[in-house]
Amino acid sequence: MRTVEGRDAVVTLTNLDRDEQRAASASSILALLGLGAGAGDRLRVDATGPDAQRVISDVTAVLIAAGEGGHSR
Amino acid sequence: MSRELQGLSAAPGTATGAPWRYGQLAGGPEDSSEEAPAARFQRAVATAEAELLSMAGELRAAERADHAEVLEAQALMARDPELVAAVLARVGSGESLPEAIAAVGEELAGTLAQLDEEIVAARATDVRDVATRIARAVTGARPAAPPADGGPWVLVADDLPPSAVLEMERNSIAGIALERGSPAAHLAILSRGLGIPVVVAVSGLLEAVRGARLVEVDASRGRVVIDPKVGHQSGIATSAEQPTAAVHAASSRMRDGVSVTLKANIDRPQDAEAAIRGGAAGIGLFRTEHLVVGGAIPDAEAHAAAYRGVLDAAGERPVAFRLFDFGADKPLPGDRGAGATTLGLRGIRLLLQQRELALAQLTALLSAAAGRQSAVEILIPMVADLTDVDATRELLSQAAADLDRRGEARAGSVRLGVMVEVPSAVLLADRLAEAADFISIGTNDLAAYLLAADRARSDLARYHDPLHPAVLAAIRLVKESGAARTIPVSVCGEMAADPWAALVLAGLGIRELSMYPAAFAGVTAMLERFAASQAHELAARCLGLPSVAEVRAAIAEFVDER
Repeated sequence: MRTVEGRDAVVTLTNLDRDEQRAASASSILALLGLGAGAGDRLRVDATGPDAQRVISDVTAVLIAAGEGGHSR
Repeated sequence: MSRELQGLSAAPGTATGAPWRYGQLAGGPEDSSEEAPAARFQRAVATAEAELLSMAGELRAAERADHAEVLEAQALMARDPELVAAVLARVGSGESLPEAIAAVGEELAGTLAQLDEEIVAARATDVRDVATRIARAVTGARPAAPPADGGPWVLVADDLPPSAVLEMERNSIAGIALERGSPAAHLAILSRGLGIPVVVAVSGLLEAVRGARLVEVDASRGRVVIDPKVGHQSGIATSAEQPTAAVHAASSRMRDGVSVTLKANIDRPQDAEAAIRGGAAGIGLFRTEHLVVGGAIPDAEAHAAAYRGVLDAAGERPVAFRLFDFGADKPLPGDRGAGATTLGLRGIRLLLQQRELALAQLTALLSAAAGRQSAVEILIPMVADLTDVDATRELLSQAAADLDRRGEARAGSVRLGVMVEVPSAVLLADRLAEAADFISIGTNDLAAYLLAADRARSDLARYHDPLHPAVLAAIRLVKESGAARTIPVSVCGEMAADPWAALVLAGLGIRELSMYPAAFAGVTAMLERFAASQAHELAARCLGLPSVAEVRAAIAEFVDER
């Protein structure tokens, strides 16, 4: 969430291992939790807007570093 | 008339107090403001957010970052665009603001609760708490605080978020009993640290406490007694409390002179000092994977520094460093597709595949142990067989060779211990005892693996309870294997912190227990009441019983009649 804050892009995440139809806004902690993503799940990051390209690479980096979302415990 | 209700133990100890139904709202007019709902809602959100952040700040100041993170996540939830949009939509279609907030909170919590990802599902309580806070800020109502001159109180609720406990006067809460809740919930972890006994999943609790005068929370038995018989209750006092009497510790002397050594389980280097001050005879389990915060593994030098800090705090006392136990509930940072399940790649299995990581840790340990190797113990998590131990020894030699090549100081040798959590290690304990210098039994995972029952599931509680006769039999087997090779066998699971279970463990011949320091007082008090020979009789009886329920009943009878 901190990664997308203040960026000029609309970013959504989808948990491909659970529900491909359900896209969660990256600025909503509740929507992100609702993805039910656990370590090892495959996530897709979509973004539109001027900052889209950069945001995608940043979000992906954060996700990988955090071991899938980082909300362990 | 007294009445007993069965639940699940979530934090050990026993306490009796007057019931206080948490969540009753006091004061606050109904929703009668003329101001536009959207503006009032935004203000309420800001209030709730500020409350949560202020508590988080206090926790950070007290170096409880793990608990602070929960509250910080809740502060984010308060401002969540989905929550805000849903509430405003409902208000737009005519619902009152408090109604709308309650409905949306319930809806969002319900969605999370349905997910099978346990860590996420447990967040449902946090979402409900956030919604309740916002609603309270709208109406100006506060959760009624129990009268200051009444206590101590037993908090009674359907479920309880950690923030509720943090907001109350700590000394006024003797115990907590919940109709729902889970032993895996954050409240349970927080309460263990505070020494507050907790029993959860007590069906019929809220109905039963109506009109009750006294409630006893008996976490040893995992039950709640409504209006306990006078005389049966040991005054209005909590046995989990009284850590002021923590002058004892180091070891508990049983009535026949047998002593049981008490050590501390710690997650963070900075906890070592308090543990030793609390009387720990050493650190029986340092969960080193908690050194990893924010998704990055610190470098070897930072690790060695953290390890030295713990050794300094421990003085001459031994410290068991458990190698990184990633996988399962704490995934390896940056690791994708590791399949972090309890039956997946975790503990030593993961380390043997991530040799660089294992070598970095072992190198840091050997380097930190230079000059004080007598105090350093290395504990291998999730050992399944001899190969796991041999491979770790090999890595250890390699780490030593690396340090030698670089001309750096290191320990000559360190004691290597096997953590027994996997059932195969129980069956192979005699051979593992030959290969290792000591054995430590992790009873939480052992119970879950032995009975094939997920610890997060409260409906399987009668299976994954460490007092299950099968777990006791496994502990006896491991202890016998250790004794045959004259190597020490200790227990470092949560079981060791439960005074009743500690008594049975002493009866099984265990002479070293490791637990969080708040549990020292309760365990010592229990062990000192009996002779080891008496505990042995009790353990023998428990081993022959068919179920956890009967084991607990047998311990109850034993403890009460003497």
